[in-house]
Amino acid sequence: MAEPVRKQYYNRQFLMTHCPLASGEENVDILLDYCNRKLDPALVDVFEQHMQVCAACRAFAESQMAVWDALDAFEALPVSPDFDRKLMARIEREESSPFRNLWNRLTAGGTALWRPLIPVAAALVLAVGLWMRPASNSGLEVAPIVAETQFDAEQVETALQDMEMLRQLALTEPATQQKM
Amino acid sequence: MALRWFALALILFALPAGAQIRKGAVHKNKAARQAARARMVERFNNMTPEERERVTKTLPEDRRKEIEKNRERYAKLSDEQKKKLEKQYSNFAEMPPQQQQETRAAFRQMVQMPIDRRQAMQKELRKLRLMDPSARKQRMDSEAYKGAFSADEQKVLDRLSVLVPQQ
Repeated sequence: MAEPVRKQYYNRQFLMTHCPLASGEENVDILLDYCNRKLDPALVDVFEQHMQVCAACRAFAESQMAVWDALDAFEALPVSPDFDRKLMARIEREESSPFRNLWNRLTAGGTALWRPLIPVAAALVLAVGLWMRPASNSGLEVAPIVAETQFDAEQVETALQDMEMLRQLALTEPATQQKM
Repeated sequence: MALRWFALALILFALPAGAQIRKGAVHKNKAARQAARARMVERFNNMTPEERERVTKTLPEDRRKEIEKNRERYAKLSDEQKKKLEKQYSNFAEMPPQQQQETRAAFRQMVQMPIDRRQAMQKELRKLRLMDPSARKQRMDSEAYKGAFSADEQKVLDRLSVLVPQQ
C-alpha cells in the first residue's frame, strides 16, 4: 500500500455502526487486514469490539484465521543439499540441446517477429499432409475388405437380381436385343 | 509460447482437415463397399458348385434356383460386359435405398407387361436415357408420348429412365 493511502487509511474513523461486510468495499480492507494480521493495533481494538456484536464478521474472520493458522503450521521440506547443482545442470543441459540451439538460431533467440509463424506453418503442413493422405491408410476400409471375404447369401441374391435387372434393361448394351 | 501457437494452429487447420478426411474416407468407404459388392458376384461366380451351395444353403430351394439362373446369365457375359455391368451396378448401389426399391418395383411391373408393350417401352427407354433432363421432360410432356404410353407405363418409364447407361 502506498504511503499517502496508508496514512489516510489509518487516520480514518472506523465507526462501530459500519460493518465491513455490510458497507461493501469502503471498509472491507479493515476486515482483510485484520485477518492478515496487518491492521493497525488501534483499529484492531475497535474492530474486535465490533466483532463481539457482529456474527458475520466474526465468522468470516475465524475462517480466514484458520487458513492462516494452517499456513503457520506448515513446514516446508528441507531442500536437498545438491538442489542448486542439479538445477543448474538441468538448465545447462536444456540450453546446450541441439534442437534449442537450432531453434534459437532460426528465431534470433526468440526476437524474430515471424517466430510464431513457424508452428503455424508446421501445423499447416501437417493438416495438408493429413488431408492428402490416402483414406486407405485410415483403417476405415478394413470393414469392406473383411465383409468381402464373408459371403452373405441374401446379399449375393440381391446383387445378382439387381445385375440381371440392369442387364435386361440393356443399360450396357443399348443396341442388343435382350431376353426378358 | 511456441507450443501455444502450435496448438492454436493445429486446432484451426487440423480440425477442418480432419473433418474433410473423415468425409472423404466415409465416401471412399461407401464406394469401396459397393465395389466389393459388385466383385462379390464375380467371386461367387468363380466358386466351385460345392462352395456356392455352402453359401446359399440357408435359403429355400426356389431362391437357390433363382440365384443359380441369374449366375448362369452373368457367367455367359464377356469380360468387358461383366466389367460394364459391375460399374453400372455400382452406380445403382449408390442410389438411396428407397430409390433402388422404386426402380426394382418399376422393373417388376414392366416385366409383367405384354411383350409388345415391353419392347415399345424398352425402345423408348433407350431414347430417354440418351436425352438430357430438359429434353427428357419435354419428351415426356409431349402429346405423342402421352398418346403412346398408358399412365402406368409412363410411371414405369419415368422411374427407369433415370438409370444412366454406362458409356
